[in-house]
Amino acid sequence: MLLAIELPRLHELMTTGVVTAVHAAPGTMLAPGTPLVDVRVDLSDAAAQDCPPVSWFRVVCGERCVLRALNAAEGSEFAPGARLGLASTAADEAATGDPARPARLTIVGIVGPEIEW
Amino acid sequence: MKRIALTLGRLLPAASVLQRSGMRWLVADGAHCRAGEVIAYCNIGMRGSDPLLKGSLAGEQRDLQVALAVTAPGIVRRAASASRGGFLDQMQYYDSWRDDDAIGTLDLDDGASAPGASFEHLVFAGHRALDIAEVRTGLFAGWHDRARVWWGAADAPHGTLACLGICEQRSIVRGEAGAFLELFAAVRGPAHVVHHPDDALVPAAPFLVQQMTRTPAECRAIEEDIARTFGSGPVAPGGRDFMMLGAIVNALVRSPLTEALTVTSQAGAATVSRPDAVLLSVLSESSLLLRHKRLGYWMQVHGYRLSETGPAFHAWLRANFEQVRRSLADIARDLGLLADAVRARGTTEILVLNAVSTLGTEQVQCYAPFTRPLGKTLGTVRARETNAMLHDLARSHGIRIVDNDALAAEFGGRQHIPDRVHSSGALQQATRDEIVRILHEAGVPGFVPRSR
Repeated sequence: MLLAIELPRLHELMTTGVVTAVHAAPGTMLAPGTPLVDVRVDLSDAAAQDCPPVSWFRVVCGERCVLRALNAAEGSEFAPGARLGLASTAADEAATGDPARPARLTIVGIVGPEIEW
Repeated sequence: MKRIALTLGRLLPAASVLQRSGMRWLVADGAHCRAGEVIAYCNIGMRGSDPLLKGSLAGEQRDLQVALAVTAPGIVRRAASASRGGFLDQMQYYDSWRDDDAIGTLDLDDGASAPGASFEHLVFAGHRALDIAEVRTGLFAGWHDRARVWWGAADAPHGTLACLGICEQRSIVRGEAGAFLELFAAVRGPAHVVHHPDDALVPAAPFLVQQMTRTPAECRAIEEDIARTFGSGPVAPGGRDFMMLGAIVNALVRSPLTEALTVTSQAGAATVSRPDAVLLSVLSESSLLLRHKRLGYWMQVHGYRLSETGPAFHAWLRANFEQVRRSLADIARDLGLLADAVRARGTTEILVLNAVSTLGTEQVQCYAPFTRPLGKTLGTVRARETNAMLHDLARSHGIRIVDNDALAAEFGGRQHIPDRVHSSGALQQATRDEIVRILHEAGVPGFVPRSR
């Protein structure tokens, strides 16, 4: 069964998220807890603001599957619900056709990178 | 229904000559107001020769204002002559403060009475970050590197709360309009609240301790070193770089926790030589600080502020500062040293806003896959570890925790503090009430909760 890996709505007011790190590669066996990508959400991206409300999240796999494709490169930007990749429940399954359902994902807030000078 | 005149009342000793602007109204004619509600304000000024205009007030005289809070509930009727608009309502040169002048009337609610004065006075004093930062658009508007407010009553010495934190504290202390109105609506008694904003430098503990002990010669050495090194690289700084640097230099050579402040009342002027209580934010304690390579002084600037500066500024930072990483144990040690230092000067109470560990959208089922230590990666775990560190400090150094974390959980993080820093008005009010409750319980004068 094919599973769509979609960017969860990390914040109710977010319009997009920017991928800041990629943790998994196509062909990898995923298990509950395997990190996929880190995403930066800036609620002030529409208008500059002092102390911008920026949050960092890690999107983590929530079930056993095989990562078949990942479109999310570092720096790429996605809207909530956008397809980041494709997984399948079996490794030898053809990765074509429509996914049967979204993959189960978990969201965790992470400590953002400190700016170094 | 009983109607009373809304007379200005006594603000300073009789011998003082006080000038004022016209009134700017905060309520509509015919509005119903509750007791304690601020309904109007004006700019005020004293003559340069006035003996009250001394100490810190001398540096704040451009931004002195008085707001008027009615002492009884009722319907406000505005006098047409109270406000003349334009500069006449902004500059303090066009009228004199006469205690008996009425700016309107109040139709008292049934059963209400105003046996004493019709107004309580809330006095605002702002120390401009830069003299050219002139903003007279509203109540306590402007760019100030120190902003303070006190009730003008003279029945007891003022209790002083000094507030040093980041943006999450700013809104709690200064309220929706930045004018401290919600905090002062919550207290009755001679309270004096001083806010030191984090516009230029973040008030991390090592920095505050150094400020408290820095000698004039050391301040001069910092200024001379910066004058010599800034802009000496291949790229010329831009105007905005110079302005940012100026704000940083000003902040470096000040000492918010030791500077003497003048408070006025009907009884005259009093000097506050140290705050009775200090309110800090644990979010000010970044794990990465800047330390000057040669002079050894600490500095912390918000990353988003540094991002707004140009390449010359970045080059200066890289050439002159090293980045020092602090563990949670280091931060605990630094906060402990700060607590010791302020207590040695007579400040009795140290309150610290803790970190919010609730993230509404987080759905962790299993922590096993995350790299240890978890607090290095997971923001909510870091927040809980930080809060546990504060509990240790509460035991070892008697600090009082303002449990923002518990309040956020009670209100609901997703709705009320979605990014764990910037909170809703309702949550801010609850935190404000908690601060007042703690101060009152600790016996800090002036912070008696006002029943609502």
